Amino acid sequence: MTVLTNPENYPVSLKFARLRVSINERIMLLSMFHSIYAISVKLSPAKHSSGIQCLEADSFKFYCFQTITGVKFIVVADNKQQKVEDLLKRIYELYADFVLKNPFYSLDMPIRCEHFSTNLTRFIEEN
Amino acid sequence: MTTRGKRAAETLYDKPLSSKGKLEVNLSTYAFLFSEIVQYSHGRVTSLSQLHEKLSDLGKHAGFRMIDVLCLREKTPKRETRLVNHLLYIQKTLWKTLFYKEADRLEQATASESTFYLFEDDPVVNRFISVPKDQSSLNCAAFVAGIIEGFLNGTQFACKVRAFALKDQPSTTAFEIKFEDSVITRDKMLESVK
Repeated sequence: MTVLTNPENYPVSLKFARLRVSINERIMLLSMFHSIYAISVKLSPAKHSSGIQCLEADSFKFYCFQTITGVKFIVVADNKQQKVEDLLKRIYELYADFVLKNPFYSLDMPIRCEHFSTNLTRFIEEN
Repeated sequence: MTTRGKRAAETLYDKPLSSKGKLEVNLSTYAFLFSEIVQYSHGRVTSLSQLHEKLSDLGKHAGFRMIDVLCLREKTPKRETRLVNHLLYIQKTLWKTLFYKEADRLEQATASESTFYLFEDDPVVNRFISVPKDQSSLNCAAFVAGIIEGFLNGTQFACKVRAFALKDQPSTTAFEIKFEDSVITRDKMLESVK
């Protein structure tokens, strides 16, 4: 409240979002999802299925994009959100640019690249 | 009658880099190669300044070879003997050949007349590299500093070049070119002779 009442901090921008999931929970959820994804590829009646692309629930939608190299990009979005596939493709481009060309990134580690985060937040805010 | 041996089959390495004749390289190809260069050097040094030196040495190799390449490609090559003209040549022609744009600003230091600064906003070599916080003084533009140093040393302008990022604008890189005293005195003599 002190931040809101202090006029020096105006303009203040507020963003309402869901609670962030902790890192351990994220790892658990993603490992479960990875297994479900593999099962769905085997279950599908058509040959060469690509796996789960979208999981719809009451309050959210869960999108997954698998690249040719096997890297999966996952976005949890609101029910009414449009153009999530474009977002996933753009994230893939940003990943190829700022993460893979970074000499200080080792494969399969959590991504801590500044350029990746700044460009990603800029892209999300613009859309 | 001479007998000629069978000519060796032309391999991929004999062909020029781009078959269309344009002297362009894909940005991603370059970025991956440079990232690997940095990783290779990073694994073989023990301190940050040594990494700068290693990158700078690699740049010197490239810079030295640029002298002949530029002379070959120009229609009427003219050799610059004056200091400022030579630096302007670097700013325009060398950077156009390397990066398809000119360097942004060239300034002389107010403190000493043997130091010049060349500014570059958002250098291509640094665009994809996010330096981790614990090594924040690392600047991979040391490679480009090596290119400038190799070029100047080869054209008989002995100098030392350093690269660093500006404090207020971290995306701008400045190259500090420090000439030796012999170069400055020679330039002054040429000035007085004119």
